[in-house]
Amino acid sequence: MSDEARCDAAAEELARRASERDPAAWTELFEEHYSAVYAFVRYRLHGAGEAEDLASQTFEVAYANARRFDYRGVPIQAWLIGIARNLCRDHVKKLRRRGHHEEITEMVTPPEPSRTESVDLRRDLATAMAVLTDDQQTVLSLRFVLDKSVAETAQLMDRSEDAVKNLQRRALAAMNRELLEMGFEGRSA
Amino acid sequence: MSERLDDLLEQALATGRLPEGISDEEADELAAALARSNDLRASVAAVDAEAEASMPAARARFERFLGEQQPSARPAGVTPTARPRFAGWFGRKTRLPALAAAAAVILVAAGLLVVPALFNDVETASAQVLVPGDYVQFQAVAGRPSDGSLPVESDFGEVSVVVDDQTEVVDATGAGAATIEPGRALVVAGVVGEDLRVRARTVSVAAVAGERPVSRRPQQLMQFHAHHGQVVALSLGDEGNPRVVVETSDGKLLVVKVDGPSLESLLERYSAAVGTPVQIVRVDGAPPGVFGVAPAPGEGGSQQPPGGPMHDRPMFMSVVGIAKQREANRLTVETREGDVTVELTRRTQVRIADPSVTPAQLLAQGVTGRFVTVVVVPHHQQRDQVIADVIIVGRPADDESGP
Repeated sequence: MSDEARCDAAAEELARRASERDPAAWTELFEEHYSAVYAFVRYRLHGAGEAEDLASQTFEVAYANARRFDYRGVPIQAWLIGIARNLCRDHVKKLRRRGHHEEITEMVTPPEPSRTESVDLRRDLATAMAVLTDDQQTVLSLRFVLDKSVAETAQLMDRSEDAVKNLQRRALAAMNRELLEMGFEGRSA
Repeated sequence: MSERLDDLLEQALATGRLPEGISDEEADELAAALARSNDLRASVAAVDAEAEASMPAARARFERFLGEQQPSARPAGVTPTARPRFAGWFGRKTRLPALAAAAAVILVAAGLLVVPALFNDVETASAQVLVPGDYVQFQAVAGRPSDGSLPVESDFGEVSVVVDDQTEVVDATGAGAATIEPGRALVVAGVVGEDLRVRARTVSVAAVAGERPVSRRPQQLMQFHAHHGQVVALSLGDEGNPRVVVETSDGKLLVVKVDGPSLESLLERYSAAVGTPVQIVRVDGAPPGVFGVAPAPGEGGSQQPPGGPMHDRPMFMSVVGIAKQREANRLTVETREGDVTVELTRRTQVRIADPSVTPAQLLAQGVTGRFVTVVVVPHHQQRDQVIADVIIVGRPADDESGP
């Protein structure tokens, strides 16, 4: 058996044990995928605390639905990312329903002075990401934060590769427009 | 054309360079897209560092979750052992270090949120008063810290509190630093996370041990009854529905939606609302299920609860008055003792206690001219600074309605 085939078999076995709610399997899955789930949600949320909350919730929801997961041929990370994506969507909707809390807070609090370029960059990126559509946010998170290939992204998003390429171009263009409107000079390629 | 650009971009992303033989317009678009993709990639290290930093707490939470899912973690038919009644809170029998404060700010309304029953009966009770996003203040007894969390025993069950470098831990005077030791009486103020853990912004620690409360399942007060009791928790969400949790004289734990004016009056009179003896009163014109709270008969105008000196109660500093002027990051509040200038920071949170104003309306009108209650960040080293931790925005000052 080739190394790749062995890896596939091991992953499928792990996924099978997870679908049976084996705690040891879930601990292993957590260690393996927590950082990726965190990175996926980070730019879609307001801060590290929220990202930690939602990343943690992803695993809890996944465990609760473990028996419904078809582990044969479906990468478990794809399943986890799908759950994280839904949780993010629901979370943002809930915040919007609860009122303009962030706007009110910003109304009475001054903007924090910038410290380093990288910190500014992240805040500007997060702000620009927030105005993108859910699909645009997803493709940018998968392609450039999680460094997924077009083929992997297409599988995770259940789209064709051409659709992913088109989506990423539109998403990057939309992000660029938003950053320019915010006055971000940025660096050229 | 669109497909061509899609493919050209993919080439540029793969090589890091603009392809040859493209028009100026195509070059402009591709250069911008490439730059933005590089910006995202450049930030990955910072995101990874954050993920790594959050891993221990997240791991502990998931391990706890996994443990609670196992059949052996949920014994059937076992009721919690009765613990000694928590007597002497805040000036009754137990003398706790005191805090001289201008007025107490009461925090966050706790809603009745029913969450999937992952816990035993005691923890389910605490889940019913903690609403994600709400700002809460409640009394408790400290447990032993574990895996980045501090479990505390409240009147409504065990609550997991996150104490980190953003948390101010002060003694009961509010002016000195303190450490949290297991068994100490506390007042915790913070924001409820999605996982129902409370991110503590301030923890006031008594110098003596507190008696652990007997946890009870709280009930929502729907019909008026002139209950007497003591406030054990307060909360305020975004929608302007302040709530208090009252331990009644006959041992019930009630969640009471209260009207803004009576709550403001209570806060003005007492320097700490948690631990205050109150009675539930009717409020003319209040919506169904909303009541008033007033000092229990016999309390008069005292600024401290009966039965003990003020210095027995751990409390928070606060400023209560009318927002007079806002300039940059300073808010001037007109109080009974004169004007107080409060500094606002990025950390300052705002909550609305007036249910008649929507967040959008408040955005348009601003806070000037409204009653405000400002929880002050304990600042034991720089006492000439008054820094706002939470601003509770009440009704307009020219509103004649009252309890």
